[in-house]
Amino acid sequence: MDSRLVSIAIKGDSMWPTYNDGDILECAAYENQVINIGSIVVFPHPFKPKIVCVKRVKKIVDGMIFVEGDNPDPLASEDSHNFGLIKLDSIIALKID
Amino acid sequence: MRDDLIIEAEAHCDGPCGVYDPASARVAGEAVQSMTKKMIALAENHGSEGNSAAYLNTMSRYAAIKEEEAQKCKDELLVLWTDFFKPQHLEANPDLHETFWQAAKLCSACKVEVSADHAQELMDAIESIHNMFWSVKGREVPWIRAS
Repeated sequence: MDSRLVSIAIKGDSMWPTYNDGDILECAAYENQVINIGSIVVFPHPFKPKIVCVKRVKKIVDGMIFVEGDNPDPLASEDSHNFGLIKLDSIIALKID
Repeated sequence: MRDDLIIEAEAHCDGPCGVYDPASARVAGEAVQSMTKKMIALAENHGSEGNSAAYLNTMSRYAAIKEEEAQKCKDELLVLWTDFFKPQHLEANPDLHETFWQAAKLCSACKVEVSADHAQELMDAIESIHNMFWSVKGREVPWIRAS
């Protein structure tokens, strides 16, 4: 059975130049699909649970993921450099390739 | 099955961008220009009293304030340059780096010199930065001066 589809509205520029503010991403609800380096994932901010984040997986470490924005400016993204590794079971959705 | 709900996902930096404003650099730049003008006027009008304690004290205070405000201006500009502006802003503002580089150099020049020309060039550069900043923010904010 196909995964449930979820539309994600990008807010901000941390994923620039891949995605711009206002872009809509078609994602699949996360149901334990394989996560690869380079996957784009949606998850709640670990320290601000009401905020949902979208980032790219840069590393997989001991079953957890290190996520980063695509923007080359190191100040343009709040990501694993700020809040550390993310548990796989906290992922909400996964960008469909 | 498609979910009708669109989830809004943050792709933001940590600091809220609204805390930045080139006004603080502009105020410091105006102080630099004001002190420069006062130093030139004092020397022109009271240079013959150059050995008096009052003259030396006043000139020293003007120089100290000029020095301090020029550094403050440079600090404010560098924060805008490195923290507020992002790579995606370069397309619409191709002169951004050159403008900030020159503005920062003019801050240093205004510390070293007593140059009305460089003080005005600093204000012109800050005005350019003001215009770039507010265009990025999508707002029309007129350039104003306190002095």
